[in-house]
Amino acid sequence: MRFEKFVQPENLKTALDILKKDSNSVILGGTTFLRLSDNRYSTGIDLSNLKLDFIKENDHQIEIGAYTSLRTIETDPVINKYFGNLLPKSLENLIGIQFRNNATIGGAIFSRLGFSEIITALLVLDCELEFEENGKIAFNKFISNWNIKRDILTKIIIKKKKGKSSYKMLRNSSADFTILSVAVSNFDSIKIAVGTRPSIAKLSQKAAQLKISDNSKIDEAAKLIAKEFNFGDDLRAKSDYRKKIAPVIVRRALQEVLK
Amino acid sequence: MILKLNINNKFYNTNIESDESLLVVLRHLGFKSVKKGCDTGTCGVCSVLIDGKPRLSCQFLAARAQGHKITTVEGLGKKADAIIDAIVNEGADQCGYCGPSLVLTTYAMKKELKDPTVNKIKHYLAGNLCRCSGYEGQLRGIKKYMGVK
Amino acid sequence: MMKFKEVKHSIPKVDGRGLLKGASAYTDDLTVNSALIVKLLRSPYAFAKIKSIDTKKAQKVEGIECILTYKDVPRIPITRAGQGYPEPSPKDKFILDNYVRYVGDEVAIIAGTTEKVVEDAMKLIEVDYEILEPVLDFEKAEGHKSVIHPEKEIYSMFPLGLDARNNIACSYLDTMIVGDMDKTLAECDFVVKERYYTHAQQQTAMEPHTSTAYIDVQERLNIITSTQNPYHTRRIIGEALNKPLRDIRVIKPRIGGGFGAKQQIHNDIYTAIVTLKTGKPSKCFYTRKEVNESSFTRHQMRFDIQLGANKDGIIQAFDMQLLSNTGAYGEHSLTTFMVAGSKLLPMYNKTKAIRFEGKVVYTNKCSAGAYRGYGAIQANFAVESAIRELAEKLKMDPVELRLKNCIKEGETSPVFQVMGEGGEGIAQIMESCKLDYCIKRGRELIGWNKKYPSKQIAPNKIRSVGTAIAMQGSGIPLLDMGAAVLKLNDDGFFNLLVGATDLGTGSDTVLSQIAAEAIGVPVDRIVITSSDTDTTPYDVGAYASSTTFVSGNAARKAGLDMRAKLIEEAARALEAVHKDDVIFEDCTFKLKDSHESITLKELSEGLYYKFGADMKQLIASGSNTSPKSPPPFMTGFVEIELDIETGKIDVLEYVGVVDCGTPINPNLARIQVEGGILQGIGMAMYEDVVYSKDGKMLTNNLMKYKIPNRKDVKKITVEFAESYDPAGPYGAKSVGEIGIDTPLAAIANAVYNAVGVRIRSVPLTPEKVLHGILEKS
Repeated sequence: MRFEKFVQPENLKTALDILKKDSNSVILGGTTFLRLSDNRYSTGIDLSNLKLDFIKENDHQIEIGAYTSLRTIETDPVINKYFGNLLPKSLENLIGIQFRNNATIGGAIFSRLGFSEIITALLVLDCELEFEENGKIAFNKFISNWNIKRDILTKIIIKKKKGKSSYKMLRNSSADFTILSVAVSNFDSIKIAVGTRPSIAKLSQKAAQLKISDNSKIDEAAKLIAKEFNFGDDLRAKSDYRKKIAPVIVRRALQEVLK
Repeated sequence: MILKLNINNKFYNTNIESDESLLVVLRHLGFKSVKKGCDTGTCGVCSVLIDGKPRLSCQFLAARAQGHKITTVEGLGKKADAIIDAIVNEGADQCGYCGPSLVLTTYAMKKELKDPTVNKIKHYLAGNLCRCSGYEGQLRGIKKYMGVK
Repeated sequence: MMKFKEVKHSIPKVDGRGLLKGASAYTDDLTVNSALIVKLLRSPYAFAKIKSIDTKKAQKVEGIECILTYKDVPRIPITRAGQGYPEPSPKDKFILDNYVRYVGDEVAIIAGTTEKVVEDAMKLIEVDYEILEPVLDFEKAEGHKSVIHPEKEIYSMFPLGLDARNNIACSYLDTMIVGDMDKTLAECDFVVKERYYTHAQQQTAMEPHTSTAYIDVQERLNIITSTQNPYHTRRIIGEALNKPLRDIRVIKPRIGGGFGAKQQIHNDIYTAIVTLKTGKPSKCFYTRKEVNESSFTRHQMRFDIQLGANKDGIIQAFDMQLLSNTGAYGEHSLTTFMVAGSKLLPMYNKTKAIRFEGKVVYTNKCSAGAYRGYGAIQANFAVESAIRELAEKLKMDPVELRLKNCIKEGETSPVFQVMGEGGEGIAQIMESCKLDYCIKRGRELIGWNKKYPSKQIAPNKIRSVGTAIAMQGSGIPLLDMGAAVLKLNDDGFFNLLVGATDLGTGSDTVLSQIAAEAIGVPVDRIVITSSDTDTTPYDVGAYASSTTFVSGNAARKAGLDMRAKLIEEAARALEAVHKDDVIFEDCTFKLKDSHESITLKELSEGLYYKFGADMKQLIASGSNTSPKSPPPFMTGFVEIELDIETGKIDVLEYVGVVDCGTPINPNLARIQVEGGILQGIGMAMYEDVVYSKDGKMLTNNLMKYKIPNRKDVKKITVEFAESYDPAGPYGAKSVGEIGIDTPLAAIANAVYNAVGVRIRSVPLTPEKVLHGILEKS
């Protein structure tokens, strides 16, 4: 990645102005793509002085600033107190802690990458995103909506809920990207997300209607859910393999939530 | 742009390009312990401590480093000796290219991990790739250093 | 058991502390900041002819100093293999050519003041390509209508069977034949006849290939480079640029790993030519993408194996037919091919009939080159899988089958004589061979008798064990030569100068220990320097598992020579009647039956300051080549846990028991084996070089090409057999490569032992394993 100018705006409004005016500017997140990407920009907009690195809670929700590092989320006691260890589990195998200390949650969400495990996990929570211009948008809507490109993600808001959740994945080498990732939660109803198919994670439509009375039904349910999704090929596996393991991984996550 | 960087508790004024990585700037300033290995933030040999936390300097913008404390192995001085001894006494340093970053990350790990275990050590150091040693010898040494049986 | 003072002791590496403290030691650390940055414009096509190339716009970029295309460089066919001379690889590469033969092949050399300037200029070079149909499937390369090397100039210095018109880099037929294969197979009670595939692998040294060049005060070209063989590098640069070798100096500083990758010449020719053209220092530091895409991989291979045995389990027939893929250029094509046979066939030496033949073909893929294991690891997967398949037919424990058939101390095999590396071999008897001990000890350590073949531990989890055995060499007999020089200094310490190249293995330490043992002084009296073509003596370099054995014997000879000279001088100083009356111990020379003595320090001071007419520089040297290449042996045992619903394999423990003769430095030897094992596990399970359908390498960075990290394997256990080879320095054989060979077959065999699924192509991905499980049920 190359850019001519590096700017540190005083506030979010100024930052948004620059972003809007200069179509070749870019918000700098954790810059994990600094060497990987070949893109050239006129201006790199740095928000690291705008205090967007925070995790706050009140009675109803947890707020995570967009500049919070993935490693902070992985180790944060507040986040670890809720939702089981859903979020840490979805982060802990991403390359290494040096990488996760750089990578920000805002960058991870905004780039909407197929291999993102945290997106799979966040999908099963009651989660909203707050943008400087567009205001609040449901997380689920944002990740499937590519119209929002020139805005600033400021924070992630997660509603506190009672219930169990589970994150399961399959990867070959333990620091490789996943072949498949699955998150399941059971708060108001069952939510199931399947990710790295290898396209970006999606929520199951049928999950909410699942009526699972006993263990023997879980296997059936998992098969049904897996059928909802389409799978593709990448370096790590072919679609056929993903199709075969999807019901297995979904079942294992469901079992954990329902036990 | 002109930056004032705090590296190993000394200040350096340096003129950088806006999109330069901290890795390039550190090496240019003579901190050769910080290595370049992969370009994609995957291998860990460019690790430095920023405000005490291990981070990849290859993907960290130098322009953002002002106002932070940067530590390289050169700055650990004698504090690195026990870690270095733990590794070389097992012969697990091998080519040494990943060595300074491993020492630095281990130093940060010792401060951060409250109740270290073998699994926690492996997890903490997973981002420090080594192609020579097979990791076993490093683990033998680092376990001793961390006081893990 | 022999007692030693310096060898067979674990001391820290002599450079270890310095390196971990971050000393400036590697090529890039030693490069001046003002060096021009050299980069290569590379081909986007797998096979194309350059119709025209225009650099005018690029030349105008401010800061650009030099842009070279095929029109601007000498057209001399070379091989970049970095082997001895004459080279057993086809001379099929030009510095730059008007043909590009794989995605990543060099099109132009660009040098400028900064990386950005050079990248900008690169984008402005206009190339018009005639795109040709590439040859991407190595099984269809022979006789393909696309001829990868149509140029007339290419040739070979050895009879390799080079047939470029048919895309054949070399072939080896009708030579390695013992007995009547067809007849013997027909007489066998059981025959295994199967085909196996191994894929390319990236060496992935942590330090990317780096070279820097400058002109010195004698107006000679100096190159500091991450090489495993500075002398070959000097020779090849001289050949490519048509310069006398006296005008070139090659310095090998510390090297950040090599594993064979740095045996080849990479960017030295580009920095050399830029510095010669501009007169300015230059450097070329490969990106990881270039390291993966545009250097060298392991040879992809296909094996057709036939093993025949009688009911008693004695293997009668051993047939190996091999097709190997050398990629766009033929570096190491013949020799890796031959090692595939020569390191496997002798291991089962009770056979009546042996046959080994095949071809190495060109394809439009990244060139294949040297990589630890060097043909033996590929063949090990095929042969050791086939042995397990034979055991199944015989209804015999595979460990027992190996014990029954494996080579033992005092035995030989006809293969040693027929086939060497590149040509005929040399007969040798196994004066040290503890392979049977290694097998039995490994069986104990893994708990084979309790765990074989497998145990279901949960509804979806099975634990199982698997094994394989391996053999490597110790240098190339009568081809590899290494030398050492020892120089006594005042204060009584020695400089040890070696051409041998420590690339992170610890060979500087091992050679220092050997020299110290030979002189009879503590190792801290030795200061080693490696390697520099101006100041250190010749050595072939670090490859073919040669350093400890070949260069180690040179260090030993130099040490013994120095000891004799010291005693002679001490005898003079002590006015001894006979040299034999001088006893040298604890760094002091004493006269027998007398109180007269002189310390080493006093002697050295006398020689340089006080002895008047007897003052002199003590210098000793040793050089060594060996008619033998005593093989190290190893047994690998693995315990895995297999998830039968996903096919995912977890390695719980890998046990290696190794006969490497005397481990000169047991800690360093152990790390060599542990590191080798993990690289082998990487190849077995995670690492794969994958191309797109039009020949672009997809696994061109470390996010996509996954080498193992420290969480991947639970435990590696390594032990050494008590062994002593009389040909080695203090009984040592090699240990650098042997560790890598066994994991492929051992893990594949463990998968078979778990679920009865035989996978005959690596890597053993969850996808393949599950496919096998589902197909079977």
